[in-house]
Amino acid sequence: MINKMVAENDRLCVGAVKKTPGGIELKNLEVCYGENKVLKGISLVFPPGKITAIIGPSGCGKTTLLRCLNRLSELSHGCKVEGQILLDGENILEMDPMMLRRRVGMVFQRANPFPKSIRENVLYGVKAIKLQCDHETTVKACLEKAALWDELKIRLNDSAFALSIGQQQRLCFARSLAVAPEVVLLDEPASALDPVSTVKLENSILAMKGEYTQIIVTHNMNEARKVSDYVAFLYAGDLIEFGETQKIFNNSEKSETRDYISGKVY
Amino acid sequence: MKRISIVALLVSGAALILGCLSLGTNSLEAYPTPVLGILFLTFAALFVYIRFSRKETKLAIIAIAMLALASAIILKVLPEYLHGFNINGLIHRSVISALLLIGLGIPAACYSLFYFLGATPRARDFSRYPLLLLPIILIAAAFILIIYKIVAGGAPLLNWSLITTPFKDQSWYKEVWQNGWPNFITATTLQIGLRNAILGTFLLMGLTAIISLPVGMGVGIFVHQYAGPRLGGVIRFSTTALRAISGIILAIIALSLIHAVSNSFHGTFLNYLVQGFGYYPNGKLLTGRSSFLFASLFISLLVIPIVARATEEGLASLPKDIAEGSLAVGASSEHTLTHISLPWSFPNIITGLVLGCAEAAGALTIIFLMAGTGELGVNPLSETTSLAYFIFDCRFGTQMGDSVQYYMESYQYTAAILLLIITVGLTVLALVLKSKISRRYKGA
Amino acid sequence: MMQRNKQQRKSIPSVIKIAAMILALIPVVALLAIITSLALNSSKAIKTAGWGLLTTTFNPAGGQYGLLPAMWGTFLVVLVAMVIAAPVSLFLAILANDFSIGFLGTIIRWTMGILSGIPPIIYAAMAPVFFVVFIGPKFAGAGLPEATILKMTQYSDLPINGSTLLGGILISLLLIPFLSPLLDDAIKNVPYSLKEASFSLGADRWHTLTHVILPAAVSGISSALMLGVLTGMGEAMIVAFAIGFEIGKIPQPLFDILKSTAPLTTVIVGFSAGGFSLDLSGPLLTSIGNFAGLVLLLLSFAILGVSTYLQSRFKNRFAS
Repeated sequence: MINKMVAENDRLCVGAVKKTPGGIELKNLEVCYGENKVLKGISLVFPPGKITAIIGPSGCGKTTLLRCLNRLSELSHGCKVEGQILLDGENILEMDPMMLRRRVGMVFQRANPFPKSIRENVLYGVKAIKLQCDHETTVKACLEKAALWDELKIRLNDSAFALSIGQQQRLCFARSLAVAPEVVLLDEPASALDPVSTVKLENSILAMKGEYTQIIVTHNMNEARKVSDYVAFLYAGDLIEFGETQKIFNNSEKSETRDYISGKVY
Repeated sequence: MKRISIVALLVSGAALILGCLSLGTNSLEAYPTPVLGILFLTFAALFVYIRFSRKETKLAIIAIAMLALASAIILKVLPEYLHGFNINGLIHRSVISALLLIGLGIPAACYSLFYFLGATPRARDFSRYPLLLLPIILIAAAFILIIYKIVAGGAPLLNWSLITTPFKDQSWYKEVWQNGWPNFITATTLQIGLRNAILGTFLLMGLTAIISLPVGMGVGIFVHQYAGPRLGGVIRFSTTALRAISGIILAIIALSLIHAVSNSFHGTFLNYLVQGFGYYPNGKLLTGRSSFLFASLFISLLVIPIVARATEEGLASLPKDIAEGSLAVGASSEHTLTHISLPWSFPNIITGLVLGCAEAAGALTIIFLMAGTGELGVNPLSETTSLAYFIFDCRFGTQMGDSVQYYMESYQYTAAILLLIITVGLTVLALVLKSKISRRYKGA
Repeated sequence: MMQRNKQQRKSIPSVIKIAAMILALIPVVALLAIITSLALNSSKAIKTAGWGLLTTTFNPAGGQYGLLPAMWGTFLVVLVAMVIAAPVSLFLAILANDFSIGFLGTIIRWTMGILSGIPPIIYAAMAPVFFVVFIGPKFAGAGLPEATILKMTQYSDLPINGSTLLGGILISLLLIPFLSPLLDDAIKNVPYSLKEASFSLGADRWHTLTHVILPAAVSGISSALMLGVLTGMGEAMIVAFAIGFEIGKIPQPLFDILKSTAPLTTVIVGFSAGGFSLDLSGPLLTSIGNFAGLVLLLLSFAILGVSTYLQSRFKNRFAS
């Protein structure tokens, strides 16, 4: 335990050394909210370094699944999680949740920057977990990854609230990268954005392939097709199908998948 | 590390407990110095251990150790009582030792708890609890002391006759026939009881409610429905400002008003209306300090803002669709107000009224210069009295010219119990009503 | 026929509207009457002492009629009360929201609700109890023989008859159930998305509290604390029992809370009503008392204004 903690503080920040992305494996994951069984025995592997999209109709459990992966689901009352979620072989349900969240970051549906300056927003995580690294390098690296550096490099001390929604969402993306996670979770990140901002965000996500494992929940079929390497289709708490994007969209095995993708009423 | 941190935790806990106890008694003076010494040793050891095992130099820990050592030395050197420097008192050493013990004990407990739980981020959260809990425990002790004293002092004296007998300490001239000749003797009556104080409290509440309810509702309705933004703002501000006014100011204004009336209109009906009156058994008329009617006028200045705010909140909480639906059918806005909006707001208004009554029952700052002991009866035109005034009288009665302090000083805690039953009961009722109201919205 | 009735209905405002308007003006009229009465009655004091009322100490023999000791007394007692009450109420609000375990939050809220029903006179009546239990042994040398005390103090200056410390402690007990629900609201209303963002970055609860939640709730917290100051300033019963009525001199040393420095509220009574005798004392003193009341009133309004402004800023910050 002590050795592990020492290793934590030795982790290098963004922009220094190439990180190894982590792989997540779900073994028979079951989630109940009170008496409501939201996820019924999901088993699935998210390949490391790749982008996996989770698709499915509303209420099928996509967001619940995503929030289990960084244990934010525990913050809701009455949430019970059973089964195993392994991050590089370790069961995250037995970890300290805060240590977990330093390795698995999240971008939310609606941009939620802190009421601080842009620089402070990016550095928040770094300061919170007392990561030893050069602050200016980190800010530059993260904003570059989010394609914001050129726009914002002279405005780093401005309030984050002065940005447009698209810029705020990309700022949240940059913020989540600052603590050098292995996995990044994205919960419908572009749903509140205009097309131009959406494209910029998608390009950022694609640029990070190989360096991070990314799991993105989306309603947008085009986005899933464009961005992801793998697709998981969920319906009513069950995993219906999982496979490479090309295969799922062009010749999927299950008829439910085909129906959903083609837009049949669900 | 676990072993050292358990020891550190125990020592910090001991320091905290000793510090809290020292606040209560003067006789624990032998213990702080050794405890602080052990604290110094433990934290020095903890610092060394952390240095070698985790390669961190935790300055805070060695600082605690040093401060503990310094405090131990200081306490050893200080005399038992401190005085001088023109400070108005003899400060006992236990005050200093309590401050040092608690001041060092809290961070010590937090840090040792942190390392005891494994120094993870989750442990860091849990280790903040000593900091959060300790001040609350001290204040809780204060409240428990209050409740204990009131119950222990008042409950044994509580009996039925106390509640049903009014306090009377009167003497008057009585004509008596002796041996065929008329003679005047001084007759006296002395009764110990709280009946009139209790009835007076209720009468004050009732009169205040009767005055505040229409005025408060009028304010709320007018501001919500009819007033423009500027007039509404002015009225809203004045109403809130009424509550910001200290009761003392209302008291002296009321007093000067009473004096003005009594000087200019002496002996007239207006005088009796304002000052209140009562009769001795021999028929003699006596004016009091002020009547219930007059006093409740001033108390209602405090209660009207509560009712007004409750009315406004209730009216504003009506979903706009419902009000528009009524207008769409052709009903006038007055009709909508009386048949839809007001009934919807009733729970809010009732809650506000209940809170206002609790305030009226406890209101003393306004009436303490104008109230009496209720010896001459309890009706809107007799002298103001209430349980709160009674408690005040038990301490300052002789200065007010009442004899209550002489006879009934030991009953002040009993009066306090009765007053608390009324005010806390009403407050709890209001809280229950409030939670029922908010449940209404969750359903809707 | 119907046309005429409709027109009539439009031009005559309804009974309800007229009644509401008349009733609604009562608080405004009352407020104006109070301010006017105080101002008129203070005219004599202002003519006699002018600015000296606010800047000098009270020394009638030397011709000074200043309220400075009274204002300092109010400041001291409110300071002591807030130093105790503010952290405790804040911690209670924190425990009820972010650091709550199980039913702790509900228990705290209900307890504070119940305790808020205790009227100030009860705390006032507890002044002798707190003196015997705390102030006496710790600060007044209770239990020591008279001779020893005299030898140590040489002047027998002890906080026996009252002290700012005692008043401050009792007022803080009054303020805690008052402030806790307000601070609870301020903390509760910080948007969940901010907390969520902070947690998702791996910050622990304490860091989230100190770096995100409390800074976001600052205006709500400040507004609540100002209301606490307002209540403490206007409290008369507790200070009457715990401090006393005589306007004294400004304490030397300045922050000696063991002396009894009568605050504005009791000084107002002391002047206007001659202590407790219900005859008004001399006209000059009554006028000074009214002036003191005016000062207290204007101070209260100023604090109320700032508090209301802060409260509206707090609500607007997160309106989206």
